[in-house]
Amino acid sequence: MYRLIALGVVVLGFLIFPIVAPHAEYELDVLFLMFLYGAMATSWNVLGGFTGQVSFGHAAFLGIGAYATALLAAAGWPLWATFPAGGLLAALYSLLIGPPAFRLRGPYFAIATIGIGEATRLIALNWSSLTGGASGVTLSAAPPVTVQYYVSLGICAATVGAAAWIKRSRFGYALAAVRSDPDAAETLGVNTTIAKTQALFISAFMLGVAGGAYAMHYLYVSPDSTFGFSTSISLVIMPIIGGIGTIFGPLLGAAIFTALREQLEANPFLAKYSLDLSVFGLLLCGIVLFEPRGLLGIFDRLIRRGASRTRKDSVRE
Amino acid sequence: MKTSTRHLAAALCAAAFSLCAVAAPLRPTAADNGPDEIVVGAALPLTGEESRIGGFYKAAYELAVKEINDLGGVELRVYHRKIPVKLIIYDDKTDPATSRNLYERLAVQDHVDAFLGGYSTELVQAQTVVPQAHQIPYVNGGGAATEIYHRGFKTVFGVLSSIENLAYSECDFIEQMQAQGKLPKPLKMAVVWENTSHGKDFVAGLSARTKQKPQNYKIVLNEAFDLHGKDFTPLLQKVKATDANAFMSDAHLDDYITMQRQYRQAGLHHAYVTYGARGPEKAARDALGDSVNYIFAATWWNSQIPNAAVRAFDDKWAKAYPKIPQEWYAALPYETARTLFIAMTEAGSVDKVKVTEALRHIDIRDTIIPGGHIRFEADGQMVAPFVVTENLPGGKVVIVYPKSESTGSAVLPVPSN
Repeated sequence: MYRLIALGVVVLGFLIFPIVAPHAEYELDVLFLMFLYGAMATSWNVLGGFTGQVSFGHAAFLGIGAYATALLAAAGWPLWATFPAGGLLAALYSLLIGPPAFRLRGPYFAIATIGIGEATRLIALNWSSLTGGASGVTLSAAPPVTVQYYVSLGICAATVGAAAWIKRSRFGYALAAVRSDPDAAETLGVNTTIAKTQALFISAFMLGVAGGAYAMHYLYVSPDSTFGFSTSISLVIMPIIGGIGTIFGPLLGAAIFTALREQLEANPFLAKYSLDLSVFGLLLCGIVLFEPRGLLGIFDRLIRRGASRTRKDSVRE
Repeated sequence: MKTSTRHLAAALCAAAFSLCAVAAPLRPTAADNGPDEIVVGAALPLTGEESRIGGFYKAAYELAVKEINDLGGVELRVYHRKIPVKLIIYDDKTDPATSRNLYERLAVQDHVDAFLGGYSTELVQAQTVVPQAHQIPYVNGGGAATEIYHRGFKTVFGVLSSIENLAYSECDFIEQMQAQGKLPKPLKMAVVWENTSHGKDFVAGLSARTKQKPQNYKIVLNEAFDLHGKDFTPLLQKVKATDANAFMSDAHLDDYITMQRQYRQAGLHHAYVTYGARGPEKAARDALGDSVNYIFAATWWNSQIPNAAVRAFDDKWAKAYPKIPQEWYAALPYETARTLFIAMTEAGSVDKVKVTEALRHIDIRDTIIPGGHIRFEADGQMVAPFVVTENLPGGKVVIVYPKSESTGSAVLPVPSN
């Protein structure tokens, strides 16, 4: 009950923010990015976190969604209709690459996804008649910043809601089994290849929809900006920072990632010596070494410590 | 407390923290007496693949701003006084999405009066959607591809003449050499180009001229390559397999250095060798030594242009930055910033519509670029002549075209050793 109330208050807060602060353009822009990255990280987490299949090529799906929105909007489609179309195209593309890629396991799968991401970028770069090649595609105009904000919030909420539902569903348990021990999952009757393919399909669809919001905001898509390896790396970093395999971890990671980046990029000292990237590097190293469950793991640990101290005190009394 | 409730609480705290962290007060303004300062912003590639060039742009913008501030600032007629310029520069890490975000930040957080552009083509393409969306005047000296200016953006201006014009300038020079018997006719060209709008313009220029004058040119190879490549050997083997007598490449500085090293290692030789706008850079000479001899380039500027304004700029630059060479990467952004300040002076205010209008009609005569004249076409891009240079032994660079700017004669065909 408390959870629902807390969630309702927050969602309401985000919903009324543009109404109470209509001129806070910069804050709206940052929150837009936070929601967008939250949706992107949550999408990656369905495959990388829930299923344990770490992909370094997920920018491919974001790019397909972004290009779909840019090209369909240019063809006269209403912007809202291009988002699910982009998601669907990205999901169909996942069916093409998923089955062969899932024949590989662990680090071999991860390496293969780097190749898939790079191959997709090269296809976009060289298919000039469709994608504009290196010149990319420019969208004519973006909706007002408030509309963009609500679109991004909506996509983020839908993605997190879907992820929460998946995690608690029978399908989610199957994914957890695949992540824990694929062989044991097979003996329990889980078809691991189908489960992984389904997880990739859902993840790709969500990311394709987020790609549409990306195109709407950036107004320019090019192979390097959307399919780039650095985008794929960002998608991995955010869930790791927040808490991989959890529902709210990727959202927390996206919030930290966006806020830190905004602050670090604007800091003249850090920017002068390129130390902003080092801060991310140190944060990532610290999390991987000391708390692989991410910032949510640290948060859990602190709460438990506080709770056990309270219990000890009450026993003494 | 349940685990998921704790997780939700953590995510909410982070969101609240993020919002507080990024919030900042609005820029104060004094309506009657005008602003205390004119805020101009840019995002430059200070780290990443283009960091070497980004450093030039930063130094040039800072020099132009220091120069105007030493004179008291930009004279704004409506306030009857000079107002100093504040320059904000961010590092976009050579990433288009970051670059676009930083320009958005400059617009809505720093409330800039005008933008100075970044470098290179891809970054400029990504960032120019912001000035268009916010209708803020933007002048760049780092994006030459025609694609940037063909999108109908009304507040975007560029002082770099197009790459198609660059190709035409080289062709004009080649035709002159053919007339003197120094180059064969038709010139059989192996054309390799970076797969960017920049490269596309280069090959479009050469193709158009070949179509126009088939007796002068024949393209025997037409191949694209990926930007920031590490191994061009397979591409160079294709070049080797042709009977080309000219090697026409369009490449950025890092690719030029890598490709020329591998060109020499492959034992290639052509009567005419060019890397488009790259050739005379000190960084290439330092990396490759005599291997850069006899390379031709068509550039937007050269420190040897026989012009009093250029000599004055050379002296200023050498005094301000004795360790940074005077290359076009320095001169063009300097002139970009100067153009913006002149437009503001002509507009008489920092009103964005008036400054944009002033840029549209600007006509500056005493500039350091070839021809000395800055004026924008209807699409916002400038048309200016290029200078063709040749690297000679001993670290010398001579301007060989046009005749009015030339400082030496071309050594052609390229000697075989």
